[in-house]
Amino acid sequence: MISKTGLITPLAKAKGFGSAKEGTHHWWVQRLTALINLPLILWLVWHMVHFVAGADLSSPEAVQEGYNVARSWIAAPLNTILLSVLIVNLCWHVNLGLQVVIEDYVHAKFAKFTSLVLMKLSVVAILAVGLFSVLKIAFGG
Amino acid sequence: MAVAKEDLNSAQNKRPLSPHLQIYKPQTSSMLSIMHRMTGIGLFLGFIVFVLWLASLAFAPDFHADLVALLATIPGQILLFGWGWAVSFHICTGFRHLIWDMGYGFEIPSAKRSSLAVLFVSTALTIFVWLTALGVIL
Repeated sequence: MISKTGLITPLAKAKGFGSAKEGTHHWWVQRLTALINLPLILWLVWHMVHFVAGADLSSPEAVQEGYNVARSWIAAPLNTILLSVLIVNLCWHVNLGLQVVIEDYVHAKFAKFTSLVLMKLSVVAILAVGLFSVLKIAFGG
Repeated sequence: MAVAKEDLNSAQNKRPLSPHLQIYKPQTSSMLSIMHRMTGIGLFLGFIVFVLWLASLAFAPDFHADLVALLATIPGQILLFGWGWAVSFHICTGFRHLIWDMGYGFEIPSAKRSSLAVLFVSTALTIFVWLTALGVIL
């Protein structure tokens, strides 16, 4: 690390470690969110595949029926809770994972900065829409 | 201590680059590693569609009808099945990463065995879930 501004103390320069920044925090949270996702995602995929396999689109009434069934499934208290936790945890995991991918493959300074910010903003947007939708179905009737 | 910016840039340009991906012979381990990332990115897109579905159920009934009609087309069904397989693959490779993180299974023979196990289990899991959902088994 070459300091132009001289903000690095002589001791830090002599030790040569640089800034530790986050240390293993990113790595550790990636694993923790993965472990929490594991049962939740198995539960979700099981139900989603059953939704898809049982979908009847033969008439507008059948589509409406599927719509009602899906909404009442989301509104069941346990499902609301698990979905909310899953959405938050999944967004966290996605954020950490995509961050590593961008850092590994996007090297140009501006492109890297821009794609990291855009990625994080989209994850926050997805989190907000997902969580709001689940809670609206649960509380809004 | 200050180094001119031009000197720094030319020093950086002269640094050797590590060989690019296409130099290496494809191996099961490297292929599964990159597929773990690719399924992760693909699942991010699937997650967006899932959140759109939630939003359509919450406040856009007309969009819900369009969305399910779109997902019912052949490309839509391929995507849905693909996301199902990508989830089980990403879970299996992710689970293997957790085992590696604990310090087990690094030897080449055991890494090869676990690679095959990952491919087998993720595919079997996907087929099992779809067969039960379609009422073929259980």
